[in-house]
Parts: sequence; C-alpha cells; structure tokens
Amino acid sequence: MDPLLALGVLAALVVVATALGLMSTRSAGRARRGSGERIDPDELGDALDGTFGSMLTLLQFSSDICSRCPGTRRLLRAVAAERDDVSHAEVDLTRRPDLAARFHVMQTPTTFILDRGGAVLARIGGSPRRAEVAAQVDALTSRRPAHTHEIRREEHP
Amino acid sequence: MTDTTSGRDSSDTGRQVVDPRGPRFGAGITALLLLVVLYLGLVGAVLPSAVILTAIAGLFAWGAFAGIGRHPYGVLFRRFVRPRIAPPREWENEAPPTFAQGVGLVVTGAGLLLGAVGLPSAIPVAAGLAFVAAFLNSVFGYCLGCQIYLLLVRARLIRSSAA
Repeated sequence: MDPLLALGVLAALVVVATALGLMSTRSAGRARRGSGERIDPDELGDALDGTFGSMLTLLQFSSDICSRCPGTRRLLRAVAAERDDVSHAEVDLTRRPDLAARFHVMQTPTTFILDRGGAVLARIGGSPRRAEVAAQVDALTSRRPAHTHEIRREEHP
Repeated sequence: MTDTTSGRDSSDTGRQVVDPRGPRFGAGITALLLLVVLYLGLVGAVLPSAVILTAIAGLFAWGAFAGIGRHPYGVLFRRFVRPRIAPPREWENEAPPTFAQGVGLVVTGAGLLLGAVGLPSAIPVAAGLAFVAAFLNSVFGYCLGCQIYLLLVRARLIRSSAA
C-alpha cells in the first residue's frame, strides 16, 4: 500500500476510535425508563448482597472483572444512605449468568431502580452520575417533580 | 500494607490495587506501538511489523501472567510519571486491567499465528483491533476487557469458582 494511503488508514482508525469513545462517554450513566418488569428478591437468591428498600432499591449488577463497579457501589450506597426508604443491593453476575441473560445486561455496572414491589422503574447502563441518580430517586419518591431529561451535569451542590 | 518487592499497593481488603492512571499510561504506549505495527503491515513491511507485534504480545503476556502491577510500563509509570503528578483520587483493583492484558494477548497472538501460517493481512487487522481497545482504555478510561468478560460470562465460558 502507498505510504500516504497507509497514513490515511491510521488517521481514519484514530477518528473512528475517538468517535466510539465519545459515544460511550455520552451514553454511559444515562437513566432510561425501565421495562416495568417485576423482580422478586427470591429469584436473586444468595447472589443478592443487601436487601430491598421500603420505597426504592438501587439494584447494581456487577462482575469480578469490572473497573467501575467499586466506585458505583460507593456512589449508590452514598445516595441510599442519605434516604431512609432507599437501599442499595448488588448482584454478582459472575455467579448468576442467567440473570444477565434474563435482564439483558450488556455491560457492568448496570443499575436498576426498583419500586417497593420490585418493578423496574429505570435502568442506568455504565457508571451512574450522582446528580442524575439523586434526581431520579427524588422524582420517583415524589420529593421533587420529575425531570427525567433535564439533567444538570455540571451541577455540584 | 505495601508489597515492597514489586512496589505494589494493597487495599485494606487484601486485594492488589493499582493507580488506575498506570494502566492507562501503559495502554497509551501500547496504542502508539500498535499504530506503528499497523503502518508497517499496510506498507508491506511484514517482517518488521511481525517483530514489533511479537514484542507487544510478549508484554501483554507479562501483564496477563505476572499481573498488571508488575508490568514494565507500570514500573516506568511509578518511577517517572507518578512522582510528577498528584496522588490518585482512587485505587483500582488489579483484576480488570490484568484481564485486559490477556485479551490483548489473545488478539495479537491470533494475528501472529495467522500471519505465520500464510495470512499476513491478519497482522495489521489484529494490530488495528488491539489499537482500538488500547486507545479507548488510554484516552477514555474505557475497559473493553470488562465488557468482553461479561459476554464470556453470559456465554457460560467463564464460571465463578465461588458458585
């Protein structure tokens, strides 16, 4: 191949990789509306670390090989700790691959926000953003009106 | 506690942890070398491209089997980069970047193997794929290996020893 053309291929690859990176950065941590499907704590069995909350549960799916899972655990636990009726629970998919298939989990961490009956209200793929999780939780517990799409990303209260 | 022989750090849970910027620094060097391999492969310099890719695969094997904390690029990072930058805001478990080294070894090893049996185009293809993963890791902190791990779990190719 001509050296100039080869350099063009290199440049194109860098552009494609940058686009992929920007796309993943933008979509990671965004909350989407959940399927409404109901999850029974019993079906999670001993893969469940923690219990369901009296109002909402932040259900985190993790795995053994997951660089962002420990940080997500800290973030979700902190959000839950500030609220009496919200709890954090974690499931290790390495021990329960059937759950990954059942809930179509394609990346770790993935977080579901469940209501007290276990219905999936919202779903967050990738590292959650603290302000967005807090806004979702407060909207779903009616502490504040819902602003699903108005997420102020740069806000640090 | 600190592992004085390797200069690695351990978290209070006893798991080996690394400054997450170390593996990203290493991935940056790897990405640049992979671009060189890709260029040489594309212009038809098969042997030089195979030689450099073999060296890269060897370094992936080092990271995969000895652990990312003992990788030569990690040593470079600790000696020359970390003293000049702020302390890390958080530590990362060694397992994900170590697994990613294994993924890199499989991809580059497959390219070299196919190249050796008469399919020289496999070398630039493998270099290009590995470049995307290393670039995403270095520039965006994206752990492609973590997603591949989950796919392997879903395909039941990896099972928990604790289950």
